[in-house]
Amino acid sequence: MSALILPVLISSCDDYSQDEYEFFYVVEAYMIAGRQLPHIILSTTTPADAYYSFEDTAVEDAIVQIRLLNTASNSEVESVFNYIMTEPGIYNASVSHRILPLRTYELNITFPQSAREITAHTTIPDTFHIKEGVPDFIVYRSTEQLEITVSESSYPGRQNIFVFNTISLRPEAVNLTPLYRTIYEDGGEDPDELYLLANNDSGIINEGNFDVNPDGTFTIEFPWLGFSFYEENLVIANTIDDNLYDFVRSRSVQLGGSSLSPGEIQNVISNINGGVGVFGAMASDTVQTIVQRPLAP
Amino acid sequence: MLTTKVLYYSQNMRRIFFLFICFCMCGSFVALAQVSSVNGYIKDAETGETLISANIALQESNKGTSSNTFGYYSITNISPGTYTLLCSYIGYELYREEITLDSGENLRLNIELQPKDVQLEEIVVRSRMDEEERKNIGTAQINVDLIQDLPSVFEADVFRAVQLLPGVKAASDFSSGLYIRGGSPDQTLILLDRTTVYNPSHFFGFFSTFNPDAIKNVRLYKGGYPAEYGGRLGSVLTIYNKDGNRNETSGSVTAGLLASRLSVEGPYSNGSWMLAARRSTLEPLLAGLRQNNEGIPEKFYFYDFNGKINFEASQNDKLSLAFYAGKDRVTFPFAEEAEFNLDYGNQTLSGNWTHIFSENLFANFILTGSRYFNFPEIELSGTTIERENNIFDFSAKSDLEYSAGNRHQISTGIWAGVSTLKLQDRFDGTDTFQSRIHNRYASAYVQDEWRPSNHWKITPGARLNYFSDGEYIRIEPRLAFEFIPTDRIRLQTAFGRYNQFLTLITNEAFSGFDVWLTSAEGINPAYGNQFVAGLKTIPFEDFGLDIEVYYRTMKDLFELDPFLPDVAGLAYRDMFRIGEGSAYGLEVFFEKRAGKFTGFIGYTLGYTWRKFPGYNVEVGKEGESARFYPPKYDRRHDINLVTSYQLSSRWKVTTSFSFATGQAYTEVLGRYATIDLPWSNGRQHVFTVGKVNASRLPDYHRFDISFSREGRFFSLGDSELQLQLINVYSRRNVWFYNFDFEPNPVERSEVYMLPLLPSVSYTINF
Repeated sequence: MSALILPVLISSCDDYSQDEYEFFYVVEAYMIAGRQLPHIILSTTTPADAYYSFEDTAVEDAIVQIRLLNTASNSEVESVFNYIMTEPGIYNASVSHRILPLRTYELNITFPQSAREITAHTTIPDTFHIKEGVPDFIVYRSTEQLEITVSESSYPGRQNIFVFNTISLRPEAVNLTPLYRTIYEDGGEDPDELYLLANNDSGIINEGNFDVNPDGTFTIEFPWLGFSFYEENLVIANTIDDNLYDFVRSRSVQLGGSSLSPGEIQNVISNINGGVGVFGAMASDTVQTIVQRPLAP
Repeated sequence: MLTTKVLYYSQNMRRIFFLFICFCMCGSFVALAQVSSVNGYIKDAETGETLISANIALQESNKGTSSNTFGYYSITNISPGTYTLLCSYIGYELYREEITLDSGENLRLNIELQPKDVQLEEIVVRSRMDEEERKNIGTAQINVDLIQDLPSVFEADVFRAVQLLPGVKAASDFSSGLYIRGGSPDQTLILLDRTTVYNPSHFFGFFSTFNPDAIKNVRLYKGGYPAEYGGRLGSVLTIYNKDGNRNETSGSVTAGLLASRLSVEGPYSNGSWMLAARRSTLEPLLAGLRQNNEGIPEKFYFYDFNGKINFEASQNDKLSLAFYAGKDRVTFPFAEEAEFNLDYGNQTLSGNWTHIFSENLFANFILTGSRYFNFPEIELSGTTIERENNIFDFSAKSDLEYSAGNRHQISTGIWAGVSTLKLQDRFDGTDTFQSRIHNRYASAYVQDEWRPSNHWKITPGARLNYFSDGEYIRIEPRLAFEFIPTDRIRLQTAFGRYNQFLTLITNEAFSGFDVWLTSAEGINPAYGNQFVAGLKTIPFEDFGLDIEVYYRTMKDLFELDPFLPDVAGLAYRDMFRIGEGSAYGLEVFFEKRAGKFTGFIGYTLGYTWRKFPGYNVEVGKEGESARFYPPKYDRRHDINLVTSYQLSSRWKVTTSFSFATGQAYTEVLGRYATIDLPWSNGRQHVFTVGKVNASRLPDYHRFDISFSREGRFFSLGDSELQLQLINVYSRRNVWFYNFDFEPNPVERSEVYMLPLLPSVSYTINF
């Protein structure tokens, strides 16, 4: 019996061979509600075993447009904003336009010598603001944590998704908070590490984590973990669109950390036709506070 | 409306259960006045321990059976007369007794088998029923002595022994998880003394929770399993703890490198008891390491207890109470203002009553309770991230075995219970996620083992499942055929439908945070079919050759979406991705069962596929349909060779060699970086890949060896010294590749599995 079954089993093995490297255009842009059109970065992928530099992969010959789509149909073009290249791979809008919340924009990239087209869409999150009353000073790890109250806002079809970040205005080694000082020291006190730690983010946080106040706002007790440096810090709340959400969440598990087995790597979700990268959108607001060192016991 | 629906279903369920009971009980009124029967328990003569799946036969009548999981046997419809009763069990002397049965006599005959000191040439009953239960399709029996003898990483382990069987794969040297016939670990139902165990692991999956000193019997139903079991798509592993020595108080103490064990058992006036304890003993080593090293946990230990007490209320009634309790604890301050704490473990309790209604009808009733918990906590810069995860499962079960005439052995039973899955996440003192899933579940089964002739056995069965969350009712037909053309050849095939209402969120590298979730309204239970065909032969005396092929389908596989960074505020159904899969393969098992040299070689050819929406799609084509991919544990070829040789009356050598095709992994093909993400000062490096898991790690192979020497420990008792070497030739098997963006170009480095490891243990039996 096995003599019959074995060939059947072996022959039933689907052809699931390893693919070859494929070249892709890479798009990067972040539309922020209420601000001017962002620059658009255009480059290409390189083989994993080749030396990578953005300068070498910058794309210089593209025709780049951002289009504001009609509210009613979300497909007809209401306005077109042309871009021009200002540096290799960096394209800037040639006109002024303040990005409209809850509107859909289309990215369109074509190339003079080819029929290739890259398109992507994003819907801009609603604007919001951090309410007044943020303290000027807080004492690190005191009982009084930083509280910020965020006004009501919305995103079509789902709850708001937040990313909070702090930007240190004095990112010096002497100002590192204890945990981050350990990380810095363990990393060989590399100055680049200070630069990276100076912008510290929370990762993705769903609005469902927060209790809504009667007036529709919600109040966040900002965790001490969010501060990598003492002294002046900007505290920024961002809500993000689907593209940024998909990009960040899928990239964060490319190298493990979820329920996927180690070594089971998947492509990042780009939501870009004809390319990879991110055509994201967000709304933001920023406050400033000073994190003081705790008093010696 | 919902209440009416629930009422309707529950009324239906009651009717169906009632019909099952009537169906079974009615049979007992069938008069069989002119025939006789013999029944009783089969036990170990030295310890009084009941023996599961012992073979018993009447030589002159060609009638026979094997003992059930309680050690009980019953041969009915015997013509009056004189017979030679033979009973055998591997490792025991053949039992032979002449019995005379009068017309209508029901002879109660408890049999005590004498253990053999050394397995020399075995004499085994070769009746038509020989090793019936052991050799049912898809079933494998694990020799408990082999578990102790096998070379093992620091500690003898049931699951590591199971992983050597064909069709069973290990994810890595670090995982005791069971990947059986293409199924993930949650597709195997694990029952300890008939009680579900949800996370049977210590040290984050490195060992299973089952103490080898406490175990009496381990049986694996790899696929096509009978209607008696349900609730999992793939397989069932049943583990029975010892009842305890009924003749004298005895015990053993084992000191090992990782853990030490103590077990004691003995009789009392109406029964027996057993207690086994185990605790890791790493503290001195950790304390020493902490003197000169950083990154050593402050606490890192596990312990477990197994206990059982049996009470023989009458000749027909036995009661038992069994428990298990185990816990792992780690405290790891890994940086200033940074500490990780984890407690996790299982507890089970079961109360069992067996009753012999008549020579035809054997019954078992059981109440079970099972708890699994984990409480991970990480504190960073005064910010605490905590989780409380609890599962409580309480159930009642009843199983009846009825011999109806010469040709039918009917089994039926019900199982009903309530389970509560509580999950609470807290961030910085604030609750961020709370889930309490409370379910009622029930199932009923009926199965007929019908022997229309001496050459055929047909086993139709059906199982009915009810799950309250979502009001799911599922019927599972099961059907098995066996054709026995000669005493030494059995051809078998089986089909079954299986449903699963649970899914496990885990990671193969670390099982301390496991979370179980259930199907619910909008999340259908997973289901699948299994087709199995096999050939079981005895090519030569004391040898066995088994060949099986299997094909499985898996539909509505629901698992937590691995790309969800945060589930707060999401509808329950939005937490999952729903996929499908299939698995097929061939298994060959060749064993030498008796003599000074024993062992087996197992070979598996296997294919496993999965598909989930949006996963394994081509770059830039997220909207297009997904492609099937092999999960990491898909391995094309697996070979395991286990040998045991009795060098002398004192020395024994046991070896195991494993070879496996490299596991699947995803090769990184391209890269790019985003440079402007607003909440980061760094570049976001991104890979591009082709098909998921389309490449293979290097082949895996490993050779382990164990020497054991039996002796005496002064005048206190027998002793055994075990010296073991794991990975004798220090093969650097690759677990996975790590990709590092820091160097330019990207560097790939290997993360290896276990190196050469010595191990020693010393056991004193008293």
